[in-house]
Amino acid sequence: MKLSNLAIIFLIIIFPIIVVLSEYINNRIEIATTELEYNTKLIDATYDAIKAYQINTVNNAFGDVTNSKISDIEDAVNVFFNSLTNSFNYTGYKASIMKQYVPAIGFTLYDGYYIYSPFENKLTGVDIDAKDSDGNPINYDQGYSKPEEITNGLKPYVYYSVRYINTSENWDFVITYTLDNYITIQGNIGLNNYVYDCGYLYSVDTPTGIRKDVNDVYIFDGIEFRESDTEELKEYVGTQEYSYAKINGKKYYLEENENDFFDYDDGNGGKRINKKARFFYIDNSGQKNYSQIAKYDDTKNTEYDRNKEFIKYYLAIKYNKSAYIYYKRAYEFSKAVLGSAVNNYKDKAGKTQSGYNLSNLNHNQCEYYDTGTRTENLKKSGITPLSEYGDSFNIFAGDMHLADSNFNKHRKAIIRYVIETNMSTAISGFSSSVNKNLKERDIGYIQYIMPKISETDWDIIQNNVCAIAFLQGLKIGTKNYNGYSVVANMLTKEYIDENDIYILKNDNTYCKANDSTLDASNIKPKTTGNNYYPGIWKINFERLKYVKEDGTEVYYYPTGAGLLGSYTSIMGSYKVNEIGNDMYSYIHNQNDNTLKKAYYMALGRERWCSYNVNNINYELHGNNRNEFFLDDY
Amino acid sequence: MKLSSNLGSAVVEIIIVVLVAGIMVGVPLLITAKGTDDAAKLAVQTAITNFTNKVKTTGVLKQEDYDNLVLELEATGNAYNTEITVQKLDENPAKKSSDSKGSGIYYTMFDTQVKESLPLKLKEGDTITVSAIMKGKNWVESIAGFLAGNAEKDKIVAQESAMITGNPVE
Repeated sequence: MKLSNLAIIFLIIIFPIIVVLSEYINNRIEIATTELEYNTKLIDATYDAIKAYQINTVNNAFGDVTNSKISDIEDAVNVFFNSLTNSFNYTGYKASIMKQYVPAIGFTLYDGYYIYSPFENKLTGVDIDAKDSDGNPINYDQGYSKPEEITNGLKPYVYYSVRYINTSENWDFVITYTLDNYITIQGNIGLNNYVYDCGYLYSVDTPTGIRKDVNDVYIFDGIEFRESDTEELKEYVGTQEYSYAKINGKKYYLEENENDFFDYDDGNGGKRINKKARFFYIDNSGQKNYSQIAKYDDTKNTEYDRNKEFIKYYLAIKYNKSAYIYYKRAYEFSKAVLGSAVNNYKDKAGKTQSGYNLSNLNHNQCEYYDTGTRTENLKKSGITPLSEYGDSFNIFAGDMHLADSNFNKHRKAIIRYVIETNMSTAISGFSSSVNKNLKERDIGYIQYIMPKISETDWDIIQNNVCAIAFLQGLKIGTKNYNGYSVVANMLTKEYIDENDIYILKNDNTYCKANDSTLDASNIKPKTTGNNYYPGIWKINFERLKYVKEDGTEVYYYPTGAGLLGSYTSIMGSYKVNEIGNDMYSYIHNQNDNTLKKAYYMALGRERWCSYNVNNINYELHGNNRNEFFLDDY
Repeated sequence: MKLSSNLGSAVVEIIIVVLVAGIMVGVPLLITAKGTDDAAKLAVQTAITNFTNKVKTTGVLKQEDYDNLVLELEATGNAYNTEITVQKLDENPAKKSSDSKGSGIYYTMFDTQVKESLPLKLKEGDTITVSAIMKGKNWVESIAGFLAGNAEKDKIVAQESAMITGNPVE
């Protein structure tokens, strides 16, 4: 055979093989490239959703209230789908089609989370067609959903809760955890002793915890908190500066256009009250609202209910002792949890308690703790068992506010377990529901499963308010895309993170607490003119909108346009110290008591004033839950 | 006459053999090499994208992440330079602006500054651009360049930009 014939035969054999291999490689490359592209689009859409949620909640006076929060989350979800649809527009995907590829979106909040997920409407036993004489549906709004239809909506809120049962101790209670050291306890502790209590946890009467000294002075990390050490906070609304106090998450401003002072004895040295003062807050429409607190009635005495309320608000603004109350209440709550309560201690239901004595509560006593085959089954299901965090340790041992404490380890374990189990159930439940009726589905059968979330992302979820979005089933070559994204909301009103306290400097800049340029000489002092400690929550530096009476919109900075972010730690970051485990540890290691005082006062003040529905007992304090916060005035 | 025709057919045979040898060796080599080159570029793009996404969501540019990126690029078998440019958002001008809806400005940190400042903490709104630049050419491109007379060197093979979505967990 001639060489040339051999060559031709070789080509005939090899060429198709080369073509097929080449196509295969190109196909794999295209799949990988498309997967990368989808990852980026998913992260961008999730970020857009978080940004929308941020903007809505920061500017919303009622952003903490549940109904308002649900509305803000639903708006954020709409933004997510709009953004995702726009990203995929070129391939022809419509919004309604995209929803079929998103089995769930999770919004983790301070003490639990919502899942936005398609669900199958299984309503039965209701006449959905019944109408009244005007033709309006009586029982059912078919515009929202129809029976047996797949509908998208927010599922009920899931708390980071876990039950503890110990028959020998007569324990059967639930603890709800949060993103920091705040907990809520509900249930029976001891025989026939129902408890409903909540608060921040610290170690007590230890060198590293909160101590109580004589004369009701509370000491934390060498800093004393006295009832007489009050503040008068000030910030701008538009171009005018007002004194204010945040009560139950809402800011109340003091307007003193006229003066008529009288002396009032509050049992703490006497105070001057201005009868002509008025109080307002910025409502949802962005305008000043004076309706909540009645004016002082000069025809009545100070014991008249409306005057008492007036006086309390005035004192709360002019002589703000929120920081003191925070450490006092934290001390009392922690003492009750760990052992014996202080004299006349009452829980949030108003019941006198002698103490819960939970210092020996163990990690393995919670309902979710696993042993034996249960551990293996959980791992096979892709759920991290609690035993992975340790076999046996006391949850409330040591300094519970620190990142490396047993409490924090247990808290993170519970949060992860609750999210993994419920999210996994929601996704697989959705999978079986939607795949039941394939003829009606535009996109055919898709197996939805919960992807494995990385440890970095779990760290973000366990310590921040986040959005977790899943995108599954899109065809990329020969396989289906299965991805997720986690984006943290770093500008949240949900809670006060230890890292979110900024410090004011003499040069009219603000910086992070771990800015290396901070020292006692350049921290703004508390003076008569600026009668507050120079620690500010970072949300207060965001631009807000105010609507004047004539309808003009004004954008303003509450702390004033003159205060600028430092280039060492806010706009830039070239002079920040590493904080190590957590901000508490960093502040503890500073030798500067000026910085410590400013930081701890701000942290305590902001946390005590923030909105928390668990704090308030309606039977005791009625619908005006502010009474709880004004009790100490 | 017969001698010249024999010589002519021998020359043709030699040319055919050389051509065939070239096709049998060269074509599979080029196609396989191109596939390898495409796979290498994909690996580079994947590494760059994953690195950028991590910085985007965590807000921190860590030394170890950068070192891992360099190792991943080297593992493709080609030599790359990485360039990182960061644009930091300065919101202070927005406060000073008389316009009620003033916006901030960006100032740039170039590659050398960025690498000297690791670990670099970024904040929401900052942007990062990461590029992988191949040093010289691989041998496939050398042959192709030789044939096409193309003298180009050092081209960007992968690039990714992102806006930071998260502030660093301190």
